[in-house]
Amino acid sequence: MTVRHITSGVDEGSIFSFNEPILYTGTGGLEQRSIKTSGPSVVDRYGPNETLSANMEALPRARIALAKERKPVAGGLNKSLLERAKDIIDSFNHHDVMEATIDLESLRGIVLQLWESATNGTRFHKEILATLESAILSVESPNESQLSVFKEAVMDLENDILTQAHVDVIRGRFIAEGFSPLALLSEVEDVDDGN
Amino acid sequence: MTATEKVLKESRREQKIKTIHIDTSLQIERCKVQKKAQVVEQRLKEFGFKSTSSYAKLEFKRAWLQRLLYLYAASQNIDRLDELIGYINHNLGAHPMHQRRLNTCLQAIESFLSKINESLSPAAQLTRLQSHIRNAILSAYLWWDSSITHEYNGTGCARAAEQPIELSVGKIDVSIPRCRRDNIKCSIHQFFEKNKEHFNAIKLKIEARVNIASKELQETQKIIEAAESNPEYLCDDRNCSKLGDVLIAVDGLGMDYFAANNDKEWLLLSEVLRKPLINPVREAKTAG
Repeated sequence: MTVRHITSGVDEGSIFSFNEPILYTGTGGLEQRSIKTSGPSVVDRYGPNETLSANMEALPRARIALAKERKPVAGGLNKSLLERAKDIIDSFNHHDVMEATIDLESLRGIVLQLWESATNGTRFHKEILATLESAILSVESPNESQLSVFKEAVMDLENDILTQAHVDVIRGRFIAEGFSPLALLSEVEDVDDGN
Repeated sequence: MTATEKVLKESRREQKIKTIHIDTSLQIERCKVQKKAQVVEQRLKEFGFKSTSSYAKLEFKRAWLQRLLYLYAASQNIDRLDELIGYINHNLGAHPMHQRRLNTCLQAIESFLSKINESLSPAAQLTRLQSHIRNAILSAYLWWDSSITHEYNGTGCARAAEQPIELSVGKIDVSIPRCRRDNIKCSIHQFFEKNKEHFNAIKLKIEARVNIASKELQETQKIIEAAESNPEYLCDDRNCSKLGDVLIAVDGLGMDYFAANNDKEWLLLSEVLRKPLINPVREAKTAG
């Protein structure tokens, strides 16, 4: 597992500030993704993320009006929506075309709704959210490996503190899964020589 | 020949890997949504080695990343997304070509982002657009580099190597400073000298087909003629930029095939340089 130092890139807009270098521990899998500091861990110092007590299981999948409720935020993003996105990804049934379409539409709606809370988020949160949304708008039926990257992005977005390294790593993961960050140019037809 | 290129030559000899050299026009197709990109990817699947030219990257940067950056900067001067077209038209009204291209680009982005039909507040809409554009610009080189096996850099283009960077104040730099003959930063003149027989063959072919050659190729012919008298003529970006497709093609001479979505220039280039041309977009359209 690669361990590398992050020496810059902590968002100025973050409500936290710290000077210790952060160690980022690899990108191999979901369980391996964590942030460690040379001193006390971020969690130790700032406390764990609060989770919602709302019974998300009881809610219909397509329901995305959650954002209008007042919920704790992660780096500015609505935590209940993030939690819901994770639930959908976890139960995504890509073997059934109809279910997959419904799940994907729900996911698209939730990610879209996240932009309301992202207006106050850090630029790192916004960039990861854009990466995630670009991918889910580009794909028609994500495979398991792609879903796992979606989940990684959502888990990143749950962090109150993100760094440039988080953004770089997740961008690389999406690209490795075949997603293009330039998919937003898809409808451009006058490709010619680019000039 | 770089170390990578030597390794490639050896491995091709041993394993018979099929190689292909890709133009900017097809790279653009490859970066689209998966359904569209798959048409190209499926066709290129049989090629174990995919290359492009650093000059293709420069074209991509000039055309698309700079256009995106303009939209990003413009979006920072408005309060609502629906003011953006008005802003572009107001500021670029005297430059219809730029205005048209930016409007086309903006419409494409809006079309992509409106796949999900829900309403957002004006502030969220603006944040969303800005974040997507910003992300596209800052990830573009990463995607480009991962999309190919090797990038030829025969011209030693310094401007292509300059990737978009985020300045500490949050602004993005995608500028392409001018290149001048009195301050040469690349090796395009040496590249031209080394490959002058190929450039000459292209020029002669265009001359032979002057009546049917595209406007771009006719312009190319004049540039090659001027460079034959003095190769440093190409060290001015106003001149090299008119030779784009030819530079990209000659840079990929070591490959077995060419791939482009730009038949009007590449059919002739492929013929002169004796490479089969693959255009997956045309093939897909023909197939129905």
